[in-house]
Amino acid sequence: MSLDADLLLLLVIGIDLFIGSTGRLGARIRACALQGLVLAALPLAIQGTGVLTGGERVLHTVLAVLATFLLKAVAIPYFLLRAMRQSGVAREAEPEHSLHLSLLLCAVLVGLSFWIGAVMLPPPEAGSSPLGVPAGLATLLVGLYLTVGGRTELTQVIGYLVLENGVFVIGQRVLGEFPLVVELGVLLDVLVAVMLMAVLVAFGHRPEGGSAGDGAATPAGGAR
Amino acid sequence: MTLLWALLLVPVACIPIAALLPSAQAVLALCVAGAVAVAGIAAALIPSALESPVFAGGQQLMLDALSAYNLGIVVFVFGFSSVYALRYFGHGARDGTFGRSKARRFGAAWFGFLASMILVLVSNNVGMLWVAMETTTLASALLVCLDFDPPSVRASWTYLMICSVGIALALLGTFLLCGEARTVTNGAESPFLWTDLMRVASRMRPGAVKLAFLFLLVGYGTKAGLAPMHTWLPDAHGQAPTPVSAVLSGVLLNCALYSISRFLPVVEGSTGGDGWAFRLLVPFGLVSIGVAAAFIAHEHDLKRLLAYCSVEHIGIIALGLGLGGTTAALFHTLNHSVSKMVAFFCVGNLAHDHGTRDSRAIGGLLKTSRLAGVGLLVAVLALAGTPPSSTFMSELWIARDGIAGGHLAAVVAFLLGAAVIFVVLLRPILGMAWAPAKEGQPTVRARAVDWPLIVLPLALMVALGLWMPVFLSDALTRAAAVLGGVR
Repeated sequence: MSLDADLLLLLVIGIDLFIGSTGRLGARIRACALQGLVLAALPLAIQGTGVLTGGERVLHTVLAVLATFLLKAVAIPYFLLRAMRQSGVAREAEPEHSLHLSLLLCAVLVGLSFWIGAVMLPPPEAGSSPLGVPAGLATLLVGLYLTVGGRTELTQVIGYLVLENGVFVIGQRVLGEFPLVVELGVLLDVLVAVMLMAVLVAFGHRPEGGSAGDGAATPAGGAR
Repeated sequence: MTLLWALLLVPVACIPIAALLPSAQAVLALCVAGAVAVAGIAAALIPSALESPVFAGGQQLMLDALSAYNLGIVVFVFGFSSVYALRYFGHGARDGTFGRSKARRFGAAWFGFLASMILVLVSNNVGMLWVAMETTTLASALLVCLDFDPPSVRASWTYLMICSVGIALALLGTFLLCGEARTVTNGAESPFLWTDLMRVASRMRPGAVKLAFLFLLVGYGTKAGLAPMHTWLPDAHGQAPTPVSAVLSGVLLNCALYSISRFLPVVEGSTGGDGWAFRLLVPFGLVSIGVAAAFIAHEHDLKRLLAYCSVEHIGIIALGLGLGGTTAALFHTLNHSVSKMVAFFCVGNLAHDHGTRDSRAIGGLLKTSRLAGVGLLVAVLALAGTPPSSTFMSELWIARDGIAGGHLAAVVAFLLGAAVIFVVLLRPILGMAWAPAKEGQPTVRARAVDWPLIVLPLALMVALGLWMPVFLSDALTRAAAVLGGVR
């Protein structure tokens, strides 16, 4: 079972690097969707598919996995893509940034996470994946970088989505068998949903020229 | 215990009612009625909770001395602010600018905000505590952008974004702490209950607990407005409608700081009481005071001025906790909440009467708007720590406890910062009070409802500065005991 989890977690790190290195907003959103899909499978890999065949928490686990999948891999990416189309201009996420530099920074963050995971945290118990904490921290740090460095509301939301995926991975690693962990993760998704609503409703209907005082950080600024 | 459930369910029940009421006036009346009802329930609960913790829902809900003390402040400030909301929005409700749909939005978010803050205080489950903190962000972000104009939407967005990052880090800290608890309990106890965390604290590895606490401190510290994570605060508090600003400044920041302080004894338990977690609060406190001093000096918008002043006071409370003056820090929490609430009430009235919040555009304050002007002057004097206000007493206690604990450098820095803030905070207010009235400035008579709203809390502040009633000192001691008492 450890092998499956390792593969999934490596995939999570790979997606982090991809998101950090692509300038295309659509590609970033689709990569987030893929990461959501991986995350939905993660509880099954960490706890073993045995949870699906017996025990009293079967229904709970299935529902949690399903909710994670629907939110992280379907609903949020769908609305992100919609917000992107509505804003019209956003083909390039951060044209001003050097993408090589961004990729380099993300790679450094991943390396840092492995170092922190090895030095600061106690060794994982036998049988659990040693990649859990580094992968989660890497995702968290890359997400933090994207959120703080994001020039538009949309890139900030994408960054936040990556950040909370990192929290989800670490939660799975340290407290995987508690269903509460997935539920709290879902509640973080609610925050993302509210942000998206704000992007779609509040910033989408801003009158032209209304963005003069609050900077260039408006996805809708050019379109409406 | 059923009362504890009632405390939570009354505001929750008010949310759908507020969303369905037929008129803006009815919603505002419900806000007052609901807040008074909750205050009544709290008053019935607090005395027994101060004696020994009250539990409900298995062990999921708990009201102990620390949360009971904070609950008292929450219901007090919320009650006054609800009455003030009735006065503040009353105009708009009559002339149509505060319409039915806006009022419903306000009422629902107002009670959602109250319910989530109560849940923060009564959660024994640290996962639920986190959920409640997240809900406070959602409900208050809605309140900040009530007017839905570009500046308030922008402020609301910054608030939501920064606090969401904070709350995600706090969740990570919660996971790390509970994960560590799980490895030492072997499934015998729930790793999410605070009472169980306290029981197994001494067996947890200090390194893991410290790492978790760092995330919790930065995460909830963002919500508390500790510098350098305070950047959202002036915008949100400045753009929100005034009753909302009063609650945001007066009690939401306390709730966030309460969430941090909940974890202090857990860390202490695992590190063997070496004071590491408390010491960590000192630099955050000092930086907050310094940052506030720097920004207050250049601020002319009265509401933003008060918002930066909140950064200062949250810093003082954190510093007080860090220096070992737990009782003093808790007393300061009360003093700041009440004085800040009144200061916002007065600024709200002034802004309404004069059509501006710019301190340079208002003059002759003591003549043109006597009650609000004098009220603001007294409230700001109290906030600046002038004797005989209770704020002066609590700041004095913090300095005394700091010196007794041998933290001379920190105390000197604190007093220096407080002195600078005294000057820069009073300068614009005194300017408004003694400058001649500007041309075309109206002379405004206070309304009857303003008198109790402004005079009662201020009288309380002065009274507490001169005399400490037994029940309050008792409550302070018991609440401080939860945090390990005076070290």
